[in-house]
Amino acid sequence: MWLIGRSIRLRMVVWCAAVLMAVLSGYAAMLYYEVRAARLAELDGQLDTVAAGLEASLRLFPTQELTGEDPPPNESPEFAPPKPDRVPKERPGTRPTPPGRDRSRQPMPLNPPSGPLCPGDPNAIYFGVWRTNGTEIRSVGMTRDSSSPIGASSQPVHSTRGPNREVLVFGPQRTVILVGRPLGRVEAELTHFAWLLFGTGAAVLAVGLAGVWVISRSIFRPVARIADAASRISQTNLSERIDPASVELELTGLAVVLNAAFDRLESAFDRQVRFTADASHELRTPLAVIRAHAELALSQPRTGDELRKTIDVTLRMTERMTHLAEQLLQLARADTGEAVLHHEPVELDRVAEEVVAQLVTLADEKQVQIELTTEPATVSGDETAPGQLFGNLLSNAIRYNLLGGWVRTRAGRLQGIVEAHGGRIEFDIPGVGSTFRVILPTTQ
Amino acid sequence: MRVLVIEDEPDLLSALAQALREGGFAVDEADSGTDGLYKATEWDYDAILLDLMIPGLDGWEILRRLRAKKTTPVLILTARDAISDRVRGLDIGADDYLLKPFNLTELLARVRALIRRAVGRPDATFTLHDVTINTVRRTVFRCGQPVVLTAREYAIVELLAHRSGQVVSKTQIYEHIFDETDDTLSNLVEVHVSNVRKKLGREFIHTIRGMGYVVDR
Repeated sequence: MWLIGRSIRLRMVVWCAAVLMAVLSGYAAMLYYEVRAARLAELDGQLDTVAAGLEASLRLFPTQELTGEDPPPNESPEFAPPKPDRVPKERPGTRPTPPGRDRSRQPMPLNPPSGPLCPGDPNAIYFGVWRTNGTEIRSVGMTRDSSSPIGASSQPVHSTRGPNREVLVFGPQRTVILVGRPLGRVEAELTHFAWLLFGTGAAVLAVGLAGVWVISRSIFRPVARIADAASRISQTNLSERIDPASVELELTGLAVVLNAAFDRLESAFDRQVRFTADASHELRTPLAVIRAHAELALSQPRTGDELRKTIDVTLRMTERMTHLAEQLLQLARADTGEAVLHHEPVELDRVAEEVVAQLVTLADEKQVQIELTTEPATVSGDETAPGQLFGNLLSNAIRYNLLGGWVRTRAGRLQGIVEAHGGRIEFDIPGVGSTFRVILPTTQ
Repeated sequence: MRVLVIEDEPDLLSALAQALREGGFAVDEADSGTDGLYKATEWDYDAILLDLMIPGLDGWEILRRLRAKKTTPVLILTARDAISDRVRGLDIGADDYLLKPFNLTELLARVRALIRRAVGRPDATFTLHDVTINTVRRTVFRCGQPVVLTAREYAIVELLAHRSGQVVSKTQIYEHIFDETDDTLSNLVEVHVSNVRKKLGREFIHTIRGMGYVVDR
C-alpha cells in the first residue's frame, strides 16, 4: 500500500486495472445475460410448442373429463380419441380413474407433439395437466409433486424451478398445463460460457495492464532524462541549463522551474566564491605585513625601537584582521539565518556627527574641510551599520580628495521617500567631485 | 643593484624596502600606480616589485605600459591567488609571481635570480680572472682568499662583473648603487673604484677615458 501511494506508475496501473476491470466485467455480465436470455427463450419456445400441442389435444377431450363433472351419458361416444391408432410406446404413470367411469371412457393418451419421451434422457420433456379443481388429468415424467401448480394465466408463464425450466399455461376449461424440461446442458453451456468470458476478460486485463506499464515507463522516460540533466548540471557545471524547447510540452514547466532554481543556486554560489576570494585577499595583505616585519625583525639583531615598531605594526594588522573576522562571522550568520539584526531607532543626525568628529584629524592631515548640516532623522536598523557606512564613505571622500578640498555632509529627511523599503545608495560622478546619496527607510 | 617597490600598503612597503636595503639593494619606493609607472619608466632599475591591487593605475596596466618601453624584470606581489590572475600577469610580461604572505628570504632570492637572468648570468657564483664573486652571500675571494669590501664597493664589483666586457659609465654606476634618497656626490664612485682596485688589484677594473669603467671577461 505504501508503495502504491508513493509510485505514480503503480498508481496508474492500479487505476487502469480498476477501470479495465469495471468495463470488462460490465460487458461480460451484459453478454452473459443476453446469451442466457437467448438460450432460455429458445427453451421457452420449445416448451411453448409442446404446451400448445397439449392444449390442442386437450380441446378434443370431453368437457366432463376436463372439468371433472359427470357427463350426460348420451354424449360419451362422441369423445373418442382423435387418433386411436396412435398408441404410445409406453404409458408412464397411471392416472387414477375417477369413480363411476367405465372403460369405454378411458382417456386417450396425451403426448407431447414433438416426439416421444425417452426415460433416462436428461433433457426429456415432462408435463402435467390438471383440472381447475386441482385433480390431475395426466402427467408424464413429472418428478415434482403432482399437486396442481398455481400461478397460471392466459399467457404462458415461464420460470426456472430448481434445475428445470417450466411453462405454465391455462388450457381449455381452465385446465392447467405445465411443461418442463431440465436445464441440463444449457446450464452447463452457460457455465462454460461464463468461464470463457472470465478467461478472455482476464487475458484482456493482463494485456492492458502490461500496456499501461510499458506506456507509463515511456511517460516517465522524459522525466528521468530531465533528472539526469539536472544531476549532471548540479555536479559539473552550474552555468549549464536544460533547454525548455527540447523537452516535452508537459514538462516545460518543470524545466523552467529547474532552470530558475539553478539560476539562484549559481548566483548564490558565485557570490560565495567571490566573497571568499575577497575575504582571502583581504586577509592576505595584513598577513603579508606581519610576516614581512617579523622576518625582518628576526633577520638580524634589532634595537628596542625597531622591535617596538614591529610589534606596533603587528598589533595594527591584528586589529584589521579581527575586524575582517567579525565581518566574516556576521556574513556566515546571515547565510545560516542566524543574523540578529537589531531593529531599533537610530538617529542618523547623531551618527553623522559622531563619524565626522572621528574623522576630523584625518581631514586636517589632508587639509580637507568637512562641512556638516543635520536635521533630525531616525531610521530603523542596527546602530553600527549606518555608522560604518558613513565612516567608509567619508574616509574615502577625505582620502581621495584633492589637497585643500572639501566634503559636505548632510543628514536629514527626504520628502516622499517614506515608501522606500530596503535602502539604496546613489552617486553621481560628474568629473571633479562626486555626490553620494544613502537612502534608508525611516521609522514610521 | 637598484630596485623599485610599488606597493600601496605603507607597512608592507616599509618592510620590503628595509629588507631589500639590508640585502644590499638600493631601493626606490612608490605607493601608487601613477608614481610607480613614472619611476619605472624614468630609471633603469635592475628589478621592479609590483603589487597588483594598487590605487591609481592597477598592476596590470602598469606592467602593460612599462613593457611598451622597457624590459626591466618585474616580480608581481599579490594577494590574488587565482591561477587565472597569475597566468594573466605572466602573460602580460611579468617575470615572476609571488603570493602574499611571502617569505622575505625567498623574495630576496627571487629578486637576485631575476637580476642574474636579466644579465645572462644564471650562476649565483662566478669567477673573473682570479676574483670569485658569490652574489648570494655577497662575498668576494681573490686567489681563494676572502676580501673584505664595503657594501658600496661590493655593489660596484657586482655591477661591473655582471656587465663584464661592457663599458659602464660613472652615471650608470651611480644610478645603480644609490637610491633616490641618497644625495651623495657622483665623484664618490671614483673613490669606491680606487678602493676596489687596492683590494682586488689594479688590473681588475680598467678605466676607459671619457666613457667609464670595464671589467674584462
